[in-house]
Amino acid sequence: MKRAELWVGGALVATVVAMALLSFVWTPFDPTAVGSGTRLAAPGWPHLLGTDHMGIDTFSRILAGARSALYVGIIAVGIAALVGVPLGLATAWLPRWASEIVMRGIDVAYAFPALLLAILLAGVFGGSTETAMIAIGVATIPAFIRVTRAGALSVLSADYVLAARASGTPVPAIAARHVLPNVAHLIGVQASVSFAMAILAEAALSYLGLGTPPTVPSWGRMLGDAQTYLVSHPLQAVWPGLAIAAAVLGFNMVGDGLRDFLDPKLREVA
Amino acid sequence: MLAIRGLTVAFGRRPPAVRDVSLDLDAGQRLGIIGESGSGKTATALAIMGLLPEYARVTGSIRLDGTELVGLSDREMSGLRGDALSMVFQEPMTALDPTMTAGRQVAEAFRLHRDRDVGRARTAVIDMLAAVGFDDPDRIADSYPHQLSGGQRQRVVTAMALVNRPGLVICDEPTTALDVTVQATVLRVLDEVLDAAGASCLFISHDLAVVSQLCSSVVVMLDGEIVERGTTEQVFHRPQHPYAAGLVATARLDLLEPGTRLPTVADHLRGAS
Repeated sequence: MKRAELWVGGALVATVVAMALLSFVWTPFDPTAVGSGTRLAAPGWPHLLGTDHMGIDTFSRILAGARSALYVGIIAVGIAALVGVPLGLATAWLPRWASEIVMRGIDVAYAFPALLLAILLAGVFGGSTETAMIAIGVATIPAFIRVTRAGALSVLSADYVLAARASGTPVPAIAARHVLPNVAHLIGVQASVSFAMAILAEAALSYLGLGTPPTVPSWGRMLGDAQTYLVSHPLQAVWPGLAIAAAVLGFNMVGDGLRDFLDPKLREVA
Repeated sequence: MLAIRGLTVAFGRRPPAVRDVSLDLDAGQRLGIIGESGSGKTATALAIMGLLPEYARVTGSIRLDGTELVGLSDREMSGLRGDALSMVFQEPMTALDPTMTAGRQVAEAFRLHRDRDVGRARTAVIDMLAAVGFDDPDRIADSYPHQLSGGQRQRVVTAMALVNRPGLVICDEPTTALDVTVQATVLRVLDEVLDAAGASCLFISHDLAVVSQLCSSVVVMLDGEIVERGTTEQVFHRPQHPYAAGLVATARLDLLEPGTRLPTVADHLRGAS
């Protein structure tokens, strides 16, 4: 059952990645060429999923949209992990009173929604893919700090850390060689869950016109564009919606599956 | 080489875990510290290693080869740990990092204090693993802890502590978690490598029989204080303190007539008060 979750999630993620990679070398039509076909054509041949209001092939645009989704996800999760993991490790060594203060501050930051921060940044710096990525990444940092710190604290009480200290291993080396590898699985789970959230946030921002610019194919923007024609051509909103749902579901299932798979206690129960 | 004077360790507002302990250990000498859980023997060991948590208050004096260890910064202490003094830990199941091969863990101390070169560290690790009785040190070095048995892990832990030939090795119940046959093997190996390294040893245990196999002299701790000290012979045959007498009585069940009630330490302590 738990294995199945990992497999289905993995298949969905692999499909999205394959779509993005494929779009670099081949799409049935140019995903950015306006007026290359009939406007708002119904699904069929040669436009498998029809065309949008500008006559762009929807299937090609869905393929290319996977690129934006993954791009934003990778950079946002990368920012969050690169900042959050070292900070999480560092706070594990703070004296109790200092770490309490830091963690309460992080709780406040954690409560601040990623979308709100993104809208704020977009308002100040103008909406762009970069703004969206940075905003989503920064808003996800607290999640990584908390996960890393919690894992690090339990690892620090382990005998092998005491043994490493008894060998004279300095603190930074203990953090890098003993603590980090032993919390890596927690970070992996957090990364895949955050990836799903980042894709969703990117879609939402692009839908609002605050993310990916109009010229770059993006599922969120497709959804926004299709809204105008929702009554006459509802399928144009269904395709990007399905793509977003599949990608988010896939990464979430991988995250859940990994957590259950890597946690021996949960594995025994399952 | 090790001289402890008036060592007291206290945690928070609770009564001290170790009270006014004084000990002397000559080069190459092995001293057993016996006591029950909570008697302060592990706190004494961690105080010597400088591994007590920050909120512990340590007073008194611990001198190793003339160097005062109490009050040394963690950085200065790190330079000594694993080099001048080292520790063999109690739980072979948890004292090894599950994400690292046994060889890398033994190499860690060597590369920190002796030689950063990976190849030379590997040679030293293989030699050390052979010294702790492995016939196939190469395979053991490349194994992860979960691929090793309890006795094998304990020998890897011993190799970690002895790879730099420290002058002082503190063993904290190194055989308690092992079954009796494996325990005998590990004790024999420990005896050999300590001899080979010419290291002094503080051997902490609650097991008189184990201590008598390895140590020439013994101190008995109760509630943070040393209540009895002497050669292993003396303590074993003519214990002075009632607690020590109780320990000896419970350890020498072979002297008991069949059918009599098994003695407890409490019998002796009650009789004294």
